[in-house]
Amino acid sequence: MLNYIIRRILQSIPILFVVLTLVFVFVRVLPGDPAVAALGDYASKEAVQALREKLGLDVSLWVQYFRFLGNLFKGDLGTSLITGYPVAKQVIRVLPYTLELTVCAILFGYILGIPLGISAAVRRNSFIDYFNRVFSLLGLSVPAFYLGILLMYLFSIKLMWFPVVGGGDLSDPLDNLRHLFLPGLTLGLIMTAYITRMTRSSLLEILQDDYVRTARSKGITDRRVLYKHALRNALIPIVALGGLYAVVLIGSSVMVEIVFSRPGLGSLMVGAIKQRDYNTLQSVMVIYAGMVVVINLMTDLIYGLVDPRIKYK
Amino acid sequence: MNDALLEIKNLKTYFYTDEGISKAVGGVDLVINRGEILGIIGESGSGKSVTALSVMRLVAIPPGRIVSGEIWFAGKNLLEMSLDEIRRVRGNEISMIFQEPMTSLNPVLTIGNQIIENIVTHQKLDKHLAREHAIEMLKLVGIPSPGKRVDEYPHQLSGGMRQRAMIAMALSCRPKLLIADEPTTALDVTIQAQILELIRKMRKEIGMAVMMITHDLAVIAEVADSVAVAYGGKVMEYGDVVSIFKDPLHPYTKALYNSIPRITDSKKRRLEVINGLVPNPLELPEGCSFHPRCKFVRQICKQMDPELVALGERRVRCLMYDPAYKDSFKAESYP
Repeated sequence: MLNYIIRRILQSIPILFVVLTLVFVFVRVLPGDPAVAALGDYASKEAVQALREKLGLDVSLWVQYFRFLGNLFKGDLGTSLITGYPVAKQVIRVLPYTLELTVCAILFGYILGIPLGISAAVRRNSFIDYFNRVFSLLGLSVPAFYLGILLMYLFSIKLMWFPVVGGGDLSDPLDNLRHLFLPGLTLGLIMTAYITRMTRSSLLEILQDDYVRTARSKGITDRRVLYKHALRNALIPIVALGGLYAVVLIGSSVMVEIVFSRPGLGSLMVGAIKQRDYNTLQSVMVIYAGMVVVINLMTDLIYGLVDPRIKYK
Repeated sequence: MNDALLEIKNLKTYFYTDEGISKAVGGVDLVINRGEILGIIGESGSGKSVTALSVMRLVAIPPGRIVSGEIWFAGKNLLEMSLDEIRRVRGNEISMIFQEPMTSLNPVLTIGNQIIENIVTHQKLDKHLAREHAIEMLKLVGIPSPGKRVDEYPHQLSGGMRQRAMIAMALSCRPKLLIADEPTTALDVTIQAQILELIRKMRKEIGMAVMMITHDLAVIAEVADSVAVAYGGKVMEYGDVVSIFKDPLHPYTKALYNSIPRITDSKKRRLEVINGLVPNPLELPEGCSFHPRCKFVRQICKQMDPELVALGERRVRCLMYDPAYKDSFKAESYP
């Protein structure tokens, strides 16, 4: 097991390397210049050139690339081209906000989505099933930023139950939770829609399986057939696809952070794109890629817990 | 006949689908005596599996519905039982094993877990004793090192071993009736023989009756005491195994019998085939459901649905044997 985890982490290094390279190239393909962005459109050519030299942008791309990789290897994310602060510090400051948001949304999705999916599958074509289907279709089709704005309008502006923007104070759990609630709900509802849909279809399929008929033929109650025999099997695809959706969710979290003006990796990344802050942008992308790798690894590990046919060697 | 354990009277199980009403079982009459092995033989779509599922009340409702009939088991009508009552019968007094041992066991639960579940559902045994009993059952059905196998998952067992485990589970509460729905169809011939031998041995051990559903005449010849031939959702012929093989009465049974090769055949004998296909239960033919494929068909067969006629201990559903219509089948009336 431990061997497997170590091997998986080692295997993810080439993936991260490819991501790094792509990010490095794409960032530099973008039109615009960090020095111009920092100094403004009316800065003199000399001033821009001086800043470029200071930032290390005057050397060839190859040198920049290997400098970047070398620093990263030493664990140094570099300094922001715009603010001059160490990128690592900025990332550590905002990372908890992003983590709490995504973890909260994923948990919310599973905790609400699985029971909803079960109720829809068990009472197929009933009111609750139709409600669930409409709800999950909406959840799948409404963009995160739009749902965020709607929720914000309702709960923050009309009802004034929650703050409109910001991330709250991390050292004050209550304030933090109040700020987390709406962004968490936005992403959580979308995750719920995915999980509900998947639970329903997976369970409906499994209820047709032979071993469910065998279980019924043993004279056990329908409840037991459902929860012990069918659901355990239905969890296998739910876990597998759940990991995939969690990755999609990270993408949506960028939108939600912007809408709610929450500090987080997403906000940091968008700011860095606007200002052509190569160092910050690269670092944030690396961390996002790392999160995806970790989610995939966790998915595979949980997969092994729910399906005894999978063995890690 | 007073030794009857299971008596099915005029059972009709229909499926209400978008294309129409599928009369999967259209009036089945059957008797299984205590300790007897009754073979039900028929092609796919003849209603034999649905009959078995109807006995267990496992027909999916909807689209299925048991429209009419009675199923008497040990003095009680199973069709009039409440769900709680039928649950106490399932897995306890009547057990079932299925065709696909690969898919009929739950892949995420250990063999032991699945057998123990059956035991504790019906008997007041604590988990530890139930486990002992499960190991004992695995041993009884001939699974080597049962103490180890009990904690294994179905995918760790071979097909034959899985079917043995299924049988161990089905027999763990010493049922009075075992319904075996094509238990050997998915297995290779050697394993098939072993499983049939096991079922026969367990019958002696436990004294249960067996309803053996198959499409394989060889299986019937191997294990059955009596035989029911199913076609188009009805029993076409019923009798003890020796007389049915020696002297098949119904044209369908005759045709089936002629379609198997015999070791004594001369090289010249061509195997006979039964022309046509099993009728679609959505649109059964008028009159006798076998008439479109029958070699002896008469005009009357297309109009009259024959009753089950008693000939001594045997029963045949064919107008040829019905005293009222016998005359139509005299030699000179051949077309």
